[in-house]
Amino acid sequence: MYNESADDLSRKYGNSYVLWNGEVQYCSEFRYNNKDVIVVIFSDIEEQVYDPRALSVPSLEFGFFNYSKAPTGFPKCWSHSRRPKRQWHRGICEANTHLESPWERMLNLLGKKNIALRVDKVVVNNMVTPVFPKIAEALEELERFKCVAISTQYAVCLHPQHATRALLTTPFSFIGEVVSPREWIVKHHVMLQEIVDFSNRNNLGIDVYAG
Amino acid sequence: MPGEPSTVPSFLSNEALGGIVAVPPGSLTSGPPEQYYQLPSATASKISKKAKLVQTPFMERRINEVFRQNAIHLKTNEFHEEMVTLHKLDNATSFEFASPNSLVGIEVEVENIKRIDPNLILTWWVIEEDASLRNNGREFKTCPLPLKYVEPALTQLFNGLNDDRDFSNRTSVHVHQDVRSFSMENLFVLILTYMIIEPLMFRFADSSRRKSIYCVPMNSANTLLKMCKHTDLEQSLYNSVSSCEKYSALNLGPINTFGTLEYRHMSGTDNIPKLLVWISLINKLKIWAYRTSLEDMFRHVSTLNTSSAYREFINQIFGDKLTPLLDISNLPRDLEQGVYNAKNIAFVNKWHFELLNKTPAKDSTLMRVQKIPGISEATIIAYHGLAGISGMNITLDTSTDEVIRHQIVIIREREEEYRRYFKERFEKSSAKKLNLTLMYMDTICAV
Repeated sequence: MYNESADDLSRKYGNSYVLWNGEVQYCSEFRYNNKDVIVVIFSDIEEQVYDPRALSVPSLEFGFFNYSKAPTGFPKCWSHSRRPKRQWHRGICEANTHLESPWERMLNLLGKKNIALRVDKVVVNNMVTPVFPKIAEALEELERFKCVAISTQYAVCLHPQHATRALLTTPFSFIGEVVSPREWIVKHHVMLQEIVDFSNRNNLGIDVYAG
Repeated sequence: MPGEPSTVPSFLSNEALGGIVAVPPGSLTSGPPEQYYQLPSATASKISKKAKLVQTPFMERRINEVFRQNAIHLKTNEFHEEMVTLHKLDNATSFEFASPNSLVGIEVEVENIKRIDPNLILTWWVIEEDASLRNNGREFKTCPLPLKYVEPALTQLFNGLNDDRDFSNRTSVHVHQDVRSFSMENLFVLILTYMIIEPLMFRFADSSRRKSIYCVPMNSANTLLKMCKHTDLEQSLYNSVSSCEKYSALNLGPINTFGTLEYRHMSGTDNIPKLLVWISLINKLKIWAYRTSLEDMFRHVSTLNTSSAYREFINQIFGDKLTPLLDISNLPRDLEQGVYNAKNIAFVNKWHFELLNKTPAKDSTLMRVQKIPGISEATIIAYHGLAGISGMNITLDTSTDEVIRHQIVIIREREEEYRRYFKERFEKSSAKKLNLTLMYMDTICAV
């Protein structure tokens, strides 16, 4: 059996976000203390003796989350996905995480540059335990945050063509319009069934129309 | 540095290829040819150029026409039979595959290697060092192997190693599946099907591999987002193959070089029955992709939403013998995300692209939040339109109103310069864009 050295562990988990006893922590490195025991150095808490049972990596599925610290004018809804590129980090970091907001699609219309969200502790916490507002609340927040997620699969966004409606979007594309919290028009018809299922599963009572 | 190096599978190495030996497309289902075809690379290049002139619809074109692949050196059936007899592996030929002549390449990583039977390299295997392995680890790779010889090859490998070999969590088994004779349509059907059933594949191979950074599930990877960036499906498909990262669970990258799909799910193991079933599942997936038209696949994707439909779908792909070997205890939970992703990717969303190509309406919710005191709405709309069409990226999203105001002042001051620039840029390429930009300029400068 091969035991991993502090160097091995640092390469895997150093400079990335991990779960330590279930809490998101930024792990700086692993090193040996004066008793030759491996300790973990965190940025926010005191160093801890390495315990493989306490350390884990969040299991993240592709989808939306809301960035809780979004300033006014900055999109709240972002999608995260994994980058299958060659790198060593098991923990979450810039190298293996792709963040994208549906709002970015609008930037060309507005003649603006791309925006970016960097991986930090708040973002990772938001990804691990996403919080979604009710649809009505999300619509109210739109003027402030431009795009707000209502589930891991759907978000609402400001509409470039309509004075009262919001856009309904998936991480892939805009799929329809939200007339009101209880009235949605699905323009990408293949998603119709998915939206009906979403409404039924969450007891939202939405009237779904094919546009 | 430790890590999984980007090594070329032995069956596609330069030595194996020799640069001049090619196998005609279509050999996949008919098994390896009896004779080799001498095809110098210069001739191959000419044929490839000619092939491009033929106006075959993209989705009907074969993978080996669309992507440039190396020629593959195949061993004859006689060779395989001789090896089976010579090494007394006759007993290890009981497992039946649906298409026994389909080709695969297998890569097996093992640690704690103390003894290697020298006969391995004389038959099907090539041995390589792998920097990601520890404790005297080795990687064993087969030549392109018809499925009917997989069992004897694996038996010979594991009989030829010391008993206390170790399959740590650093080790894995990768299977390359020959898809050179696939059409682009077949490939797309396979990708969509795989996307839907990916959780089942992981559950069979090893669920813990979902977290591995060397085997990222397609349904969690940013590859998905790349697949729907274009209005045309063909471009999306071409790009997703060309830009696929190596460490995807289903690695599309080798299509571009070897004409294979690489399945990286299986953790290191010497459990031959499990490996045979795994390869059989992969083989069934390929047969399904051959037999299913894109239209039928679209129909499947758009109608899959009940437990019974899921079960029937799995049964159609894997058949009565293999389906019971899969964990299908909670199909709705397992397949829903894949179906959702497949729906988003399979069908081009024209409405989305039309929406993003229209100038924003001045009273829209989007433009309301863009209002700047002191500047008319028409000017702001024209400004955004101008920036959008010319791709100038004038301001940052987080910029203040003052920045936009400042930019508008600059455009007004340097009106002639801007007009000249747009004329030069769009005069020849797009009269429509030229007219639009000049119209926006008129609005901005009409003070």
